[in-house]
Amino acid sequence: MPQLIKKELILQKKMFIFGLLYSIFLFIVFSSNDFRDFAYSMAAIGIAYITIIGIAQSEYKNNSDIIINSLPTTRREIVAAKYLSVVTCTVIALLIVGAVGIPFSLMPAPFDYRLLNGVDIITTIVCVLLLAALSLPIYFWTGAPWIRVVNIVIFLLIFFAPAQIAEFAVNNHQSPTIAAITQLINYQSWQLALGGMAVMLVLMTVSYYISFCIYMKKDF
Amino acid sequence: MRIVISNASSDPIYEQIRQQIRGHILKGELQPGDALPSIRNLAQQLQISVITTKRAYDELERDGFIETVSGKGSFVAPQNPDMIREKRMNLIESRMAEVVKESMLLGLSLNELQQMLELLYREV
Amino acid sequence: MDNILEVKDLSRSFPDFQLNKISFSLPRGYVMGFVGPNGSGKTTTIKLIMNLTKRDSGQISVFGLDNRAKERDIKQRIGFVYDENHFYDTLTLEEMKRVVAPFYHSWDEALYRRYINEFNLPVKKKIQDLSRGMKMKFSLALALSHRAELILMDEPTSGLDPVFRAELLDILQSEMQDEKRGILFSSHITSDLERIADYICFINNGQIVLSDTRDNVIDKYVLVKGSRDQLDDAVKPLFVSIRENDFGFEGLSDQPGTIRGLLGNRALYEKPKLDDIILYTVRRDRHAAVN
Repeated sequence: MPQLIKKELILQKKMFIFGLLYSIFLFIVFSSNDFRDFAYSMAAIGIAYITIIGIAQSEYKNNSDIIINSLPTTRREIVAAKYLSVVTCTVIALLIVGAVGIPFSLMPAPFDYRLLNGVDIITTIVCVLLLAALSLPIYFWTGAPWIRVVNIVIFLLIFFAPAQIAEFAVNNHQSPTIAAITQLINYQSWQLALGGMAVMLVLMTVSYYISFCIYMKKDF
Repeated sequence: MRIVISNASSDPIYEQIRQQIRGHILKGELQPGDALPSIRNLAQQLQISVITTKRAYDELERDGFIETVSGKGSFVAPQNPDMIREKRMNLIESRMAEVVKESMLLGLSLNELQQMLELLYREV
Repeated sequence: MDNILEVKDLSRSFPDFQLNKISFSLPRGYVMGFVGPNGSGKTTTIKLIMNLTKRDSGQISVFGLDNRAKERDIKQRIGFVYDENHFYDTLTLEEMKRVVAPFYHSWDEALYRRYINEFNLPVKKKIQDLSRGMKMKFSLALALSHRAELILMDEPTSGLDPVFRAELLDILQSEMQDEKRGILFSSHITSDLERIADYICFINNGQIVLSDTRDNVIDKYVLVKGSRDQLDDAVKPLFVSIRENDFGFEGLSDQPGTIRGLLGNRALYEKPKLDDIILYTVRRDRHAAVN
């Protein structure tokens, strides 16, 4: 198992430089934007997800499952390591954006970002886990080509849905549901985030189980 | 020790090895107690299969030319009377072959040669 | 005898191909050539041994252990070399080694360095920038550096130049100086490794045609050449298959004694090469499939 995690880290390493540039780019783009508060989590989610997908695609391209499954390990561990690598990936992405945020915080407006906070971290974890829980079973089932399609759909959702939802919320702020949700977001972000984490853990477990069943039956 | 494998030969490879090692022993180029290369080493040197080499050694052992001590390898066997006899017979044969060739050059018939041989045999 | 690999009644069917109850075994200390035309089931069999593919029925034991129940233990002791590159091609050799090495308890870094030097491998280069031969050498270096007892190789010589093929022979034979080891290699080019194979397992159309020592395989057959008028109804069935032309025939028979008795010295007899045996057998099976 540690060897499999090490493998993921070696593969992930390639994405970190990209992550650095990507987060700087996002910070600049979001600086004069209404969503600058989301810059940290947006950047971290982006880095983590692109890394996970990037690795999946390179594994698919080389049919590397053949090598990994020929090494002294088990299919159970291979699937488990993939899920754990989502966590390591998220942590690394958060470290990158957190570090990039520090010099930004010292800059003059509009680049004077606040530092990374707990809400950013939890939002990132929840979102990355959600994305992983949805896409990993598809990866284990069909390999990278389909994940690419799912990837595009989810990415469009990430980039446009928040804006649409926010706009919808602003336009319908008198609606009781929206009001309740905005209240939740505004006043109970910690509780909301923790609740979200719990839901995500359950989702990840179900997702892991599905992936495991799919992978056990696979021919390479 | 010289061993040459020919792919063109109609003899199987194990037979070629067997005959050549046997030849080396009979000619005295390999002395009793001399170590032979290990089966696996010889196989690698000649780039042939281990089983082929093993078969040659097995047959040499069966014929009493070599002995295999497990863990130590194969050695040329102490020569038994039969083998020594075979060796000397070989020597006589080859000398006689020279005589025959010489006689042929002189145009001696087989009959004449036999008479000569008979005479010599009684005198000695 | 102590078998390092034993395959028994192994079956697996695919929509377009069927591996049909194949059985063979490789005694410890020997090299087996797993030969047959492309698409005959060699790669599938190797994947089944490695548990990369699921079987329908049958048993596989490696080192006397079930290959599924003891999968991890067995794989610690197997070195593998595959036909195609399945390494992460964006990694450098050094990085790929760092991925693979930690999996093996008995990884020998000094031995690995020795192979890297011997094979002239550029460790800083990315795998995608290597030639086919280089990738194969790298794969071999990884397979040999954890002192594997059983080495499985799928088409190791395809795409390699004759110089390295000869080197490979020498490397494998020096590995075989340790008589606890075993090597199974598949190949459709038999002339290459034919010489060093102790055993030959010949597979065609998902079935084992024969599996025996190389010498026995060769001795079982005779290549006969003669004129076409000798091919009467008594003689024809003695051939595996026959190739006729305007000037005569050439055929492979698996009944050398009988055929010599019938044709005497009116025909020419030759010791077949492994290639001849495969060629004539495949021809017979194709012919049978058509009729």
